[in-house]
Amino acid sequence: MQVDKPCQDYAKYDHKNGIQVVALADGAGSSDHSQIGSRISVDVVCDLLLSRYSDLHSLSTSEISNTVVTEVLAVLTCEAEKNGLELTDLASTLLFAATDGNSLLYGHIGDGYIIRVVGNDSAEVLSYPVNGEFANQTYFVTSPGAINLFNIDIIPMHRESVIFLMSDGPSSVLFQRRPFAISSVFLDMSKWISNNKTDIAYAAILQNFEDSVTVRVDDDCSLALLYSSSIMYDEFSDNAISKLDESLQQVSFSIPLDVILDFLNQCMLSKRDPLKIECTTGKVQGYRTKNICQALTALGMFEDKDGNKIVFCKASALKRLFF
Amino acid sequence: MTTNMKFSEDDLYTNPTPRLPIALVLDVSPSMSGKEEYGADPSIDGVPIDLLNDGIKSFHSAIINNDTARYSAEIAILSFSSIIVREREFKLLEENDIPQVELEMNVGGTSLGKAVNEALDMLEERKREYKKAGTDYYQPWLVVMTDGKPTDLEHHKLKDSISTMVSNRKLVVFAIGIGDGADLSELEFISGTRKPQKLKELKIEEFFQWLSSSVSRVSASTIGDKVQLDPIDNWADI
Repeated sequence: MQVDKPCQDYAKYDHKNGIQVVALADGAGSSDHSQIGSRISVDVVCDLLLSRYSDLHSLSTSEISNTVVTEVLAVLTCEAEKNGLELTDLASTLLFAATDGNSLLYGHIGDGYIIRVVGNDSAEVLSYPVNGEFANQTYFVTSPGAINLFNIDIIPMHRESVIFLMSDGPSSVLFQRRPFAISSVFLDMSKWISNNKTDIAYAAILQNFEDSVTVRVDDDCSLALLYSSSIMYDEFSDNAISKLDESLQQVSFSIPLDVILDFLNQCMLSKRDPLKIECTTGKVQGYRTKNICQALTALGMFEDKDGNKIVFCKASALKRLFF
Repeated sequence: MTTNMKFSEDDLYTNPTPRLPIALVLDVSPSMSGKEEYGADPSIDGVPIDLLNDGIKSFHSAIINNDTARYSAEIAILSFSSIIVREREFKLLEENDIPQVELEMNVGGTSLGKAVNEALDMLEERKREYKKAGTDYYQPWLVVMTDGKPTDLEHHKLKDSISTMVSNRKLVVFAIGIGDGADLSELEFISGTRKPQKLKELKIEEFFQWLSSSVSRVSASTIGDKVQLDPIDNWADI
């Protein structure tokens, strides 16, 4: 462990106007100031993606790469000049992923991996590390030709999928080099995230990293992730949930609140007729969807059309659950 | 955290430690016996070959006692006079595996170029094996130690290729002259951009201590590190 140096990794999650972004950077070990560079690179790319996701989405991958590198280098150059540093003093790798709920825009230069797990079934590599020939050589956002070295793509964002970004520290434990293999702990983490509240899943992942990963690695370890199911119980506002609870009690509704929330979650993620949502999974298991829908119709979250067709009113439900 | 939210240790991997291949190219020609009749430098106090073996022993001990360097440094040894002998192929050092070299008194000559050429071939071969096995590796090191003048001009042919490799950071060369008889201008042909150094008062052991410290620094480096080696004034005549 390099105890004489500050942590040079930096990671961040942010969201704005329906766009969610994670970014992670690993500062060059050769520089005493790369922890500043990694922080700036992450902040700049997060701001860029949050403010211009739609614009970037319409560009080619090489144009996106050009925009990202240009924006990051402009701020890094300014910071270097202000502090009498060389641009290379602020060198870092950079990984990012952003989504509007339908598409995923990701980018990566240097070491580390971007992994996707869909439906807790299998983990796949979206972006491999791009390194030099030797063990202590990689590419940075400040490297010559960085624009061409960036791996950028836009792909559909599947529901119930998790995107993992990580630095090279944990990569050495979570991947087998030859023959190449991805650790099944990605599936474990994905299941924990799907089946638990965010704070519980986060605590479990953090604890496991401390117990099993960082102890095996003589380097900074960073992991950042995006979960596609953007509507989760703990993201419904507390105020909205308590109001919903009160309303349900007023209509003498006896089904537990967490079952209702689980059902609403499924309705929001599904484009199917709510009555056809199978109550065979999660907390909804064993309850009749028709009963739930009827109760929620009284609250305006569903609409009974012609007396026999119940339609989910997403806008109304969102309003009740988030405000 | 619930008890079932736990990584299985079986699901975490242990990848091989990145390797640092080091080729030691050592002069064992008769002059290394320290005897004047074989052209040894009379100013040298001690028998060079013995001092060389003591240095290797000290190098071995320093590497073995450093956990990172021990599982990273792979040492190969080539001895040379007018003939070249592969004394040791690349492998990690073991506790009781102390490499030593012997004088070659039957033939004279100092075929520096041929020896260096063979060492470069060995390094390339080893790199291919690392790639095939999926093992990461650091820039290979070539360490050349000689007390005399080359007896042919083969090493002149290597000047451009070695300079290119060193400039492109594909190879690290330490060219060391032992005693006043060593011709550093000839060593320049195989040292690339790093100047050849002459040992101060035959401080072979100090050189090997420095070398092992440098191995430790490189083997503990991670992505993006630019490794700064220790000063050399402890052993080099600068």
